Amino acid sequence: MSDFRTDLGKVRGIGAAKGGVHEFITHRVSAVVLALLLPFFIYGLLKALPQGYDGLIGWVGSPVGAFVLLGFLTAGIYHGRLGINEVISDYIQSTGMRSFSMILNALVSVSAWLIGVLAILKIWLGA
Amino acid sequence: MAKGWTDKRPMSPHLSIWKWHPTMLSSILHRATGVVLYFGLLKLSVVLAFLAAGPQWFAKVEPLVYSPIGAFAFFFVVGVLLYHFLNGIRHLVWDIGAGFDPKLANMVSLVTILVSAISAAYLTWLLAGTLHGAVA
Repeated sequence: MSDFRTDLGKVRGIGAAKGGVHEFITHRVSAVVLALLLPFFIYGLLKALPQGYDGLIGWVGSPVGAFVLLGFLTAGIYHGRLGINEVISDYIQSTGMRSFSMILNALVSVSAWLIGVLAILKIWLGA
Repeated sequence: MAKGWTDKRPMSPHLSIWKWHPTMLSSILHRATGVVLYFGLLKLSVVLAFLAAGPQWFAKVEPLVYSPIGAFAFFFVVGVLLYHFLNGIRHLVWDIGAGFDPKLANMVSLVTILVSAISAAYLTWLLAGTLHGAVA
């Protein structure tokens, strides 16, 4: 097969990114995890919300509740971070701003995940 | 969008020149709801932290949940969540190469939007009494 790429294009590195398969696949795998957990998440939320503070503590403190919340938050923030990165790479054209946004996204995502996970573990282990 | 773009060659068409149709709407909504849900997860983490900190701390964020605004936020976020969930399943089906018939795809788009809005309204109605601020 003949090569349609120009020499200048090759030198500038224009073409396929040669990366991103991992992100593509894990975005979908985390989507499947979220789809499986969502019914449990909504059911738990609907049961806990009417009982206020005690209901929510009881939900997060139960083994099933803690498992569902840990899984949902982990898969959700992972999936969300990949999604936001996709939006960033679509709309932000300046390389510097794009890198800055993606690093900020990583920091916010990991922070939110840590805050949520530590909170769930504190409630669950203290229950 | 093309700010700072110096390449003179033609760009691929943007949103402004397309005629609106259901699959386009559902594609845009999928991205928009995804961004909303990311912030929803950040809020979930913060509320969990306040919950873990004890009742006196949880009382500070309680009005965010148990109030008319909380009820509306619940309706909005649950609707957005259900839409992203249903349309996400459709994306997974698309990934295996099925469901691309335009007529079917357009119908699925409208059904997805309607089902998520109606389900969110129903779930909010189930909680309407408690989200109104009855719980101490």
